[in-house]
Amino acid sequence: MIFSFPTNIAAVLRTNLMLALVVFSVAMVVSPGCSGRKKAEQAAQEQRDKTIQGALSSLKALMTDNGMTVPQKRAEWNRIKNLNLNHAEVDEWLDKVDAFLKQEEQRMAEEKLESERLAAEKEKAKKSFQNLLTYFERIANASSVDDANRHIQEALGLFSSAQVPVLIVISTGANGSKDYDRPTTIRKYLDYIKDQRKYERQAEPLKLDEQGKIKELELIKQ
Amino acid sequence: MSMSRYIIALFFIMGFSAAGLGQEKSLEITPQRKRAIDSLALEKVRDLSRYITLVGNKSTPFSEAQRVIDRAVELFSDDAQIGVSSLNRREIRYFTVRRYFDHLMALNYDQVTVEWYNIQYVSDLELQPDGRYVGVITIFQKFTGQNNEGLKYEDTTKKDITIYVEKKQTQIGGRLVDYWDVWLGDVRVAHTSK
Repeated sequence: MIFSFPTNIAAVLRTNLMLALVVFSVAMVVSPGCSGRKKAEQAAQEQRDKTIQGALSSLKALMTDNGMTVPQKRAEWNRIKNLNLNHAEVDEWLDKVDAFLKQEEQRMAEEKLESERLAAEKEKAKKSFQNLLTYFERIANASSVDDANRHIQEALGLFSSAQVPVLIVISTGANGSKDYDRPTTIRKYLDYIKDQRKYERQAEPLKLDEQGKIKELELIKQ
Repeated sequence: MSMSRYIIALFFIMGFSAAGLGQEKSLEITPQRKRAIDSLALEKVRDLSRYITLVGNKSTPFSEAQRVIDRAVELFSDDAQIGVSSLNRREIRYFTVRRYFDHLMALNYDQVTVEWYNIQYVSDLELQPDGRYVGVITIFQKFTGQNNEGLKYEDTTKKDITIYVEKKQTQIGGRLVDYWDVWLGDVRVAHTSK
């Protein structure tokens, strides 16, 4: 007796085999694509982690004296902020560094203002001394005692009082230390110019009071 | 007991000597500073010379002369004396500084000129044990007195002026300032000639 499958069973088997082949083929095609995306996702995550670590490291360095100027630090802070990392620790450090930089920027602004104020004061003191030198010259070359006394009275108007101290530097050491003559007052010094017909032509920056009058004078002997 | 006293006394003496040497060393000055102080002292003498000229000048107003005398007095130590000589008498008279200037103002001439020249050190400033520097500057003074009748007196006198220099400290504008105080001692007459 010859064993044979019924025709319908064979057809079913054939169909199932075909189906299995299709499923296998699809699995073979689809399976490698899925693995690549995971790798890409993993790489992207690694890259993000690396960026976050870099950002955190940079942010922490911005709080230290790392050789960068405040504007450079602010530019770096902006760069990190614009990365939009959306990471809690990074955001926390961004806030910390922002507060720190705001303080530094305010300090710098104050220093700039102070520096400008000092420069203006120095310029004012310089002009004041030029003005004073004109009086020294007039007193030393006065044609009479009355003439000299008139110039002395005018010159005293530049000072807080007639008792303003006058220091005269006789020499300056290599370390910047100064040797002075016996201190005197502006009144006596102006009389000295009248009597001796000579005066010092150089001075340290004048010290002025709030009204812009000279409150201390330090002359330098030539 | 006696030996231990000696040892303690010896330590004290050594301690004071060391302190003394330390003080002397701290008062020593660099050549640059020395030059500045020498120059300052010479300038004080030139300033005095000008004050004498001003006070001697009969055209100087009285009030100005008085003020100048005050300034001149400030150049000297309190007990300093100035010697005055004359070709007409042998002895040298010494006055306190203020009396010397009063005398100069009251001289019975219509015109007086006093000129100092050859102002220089004859004895360099030397550090003394008390911490002061002392030196001597010599000057030549040409004195001319003349009245309107044409009578004229002239002499040239060599004078030696003792100079004292001491480092002092004062407070200016809330800070301590070290300064070199230079003042003049006696002005002694060395000799007078025509």
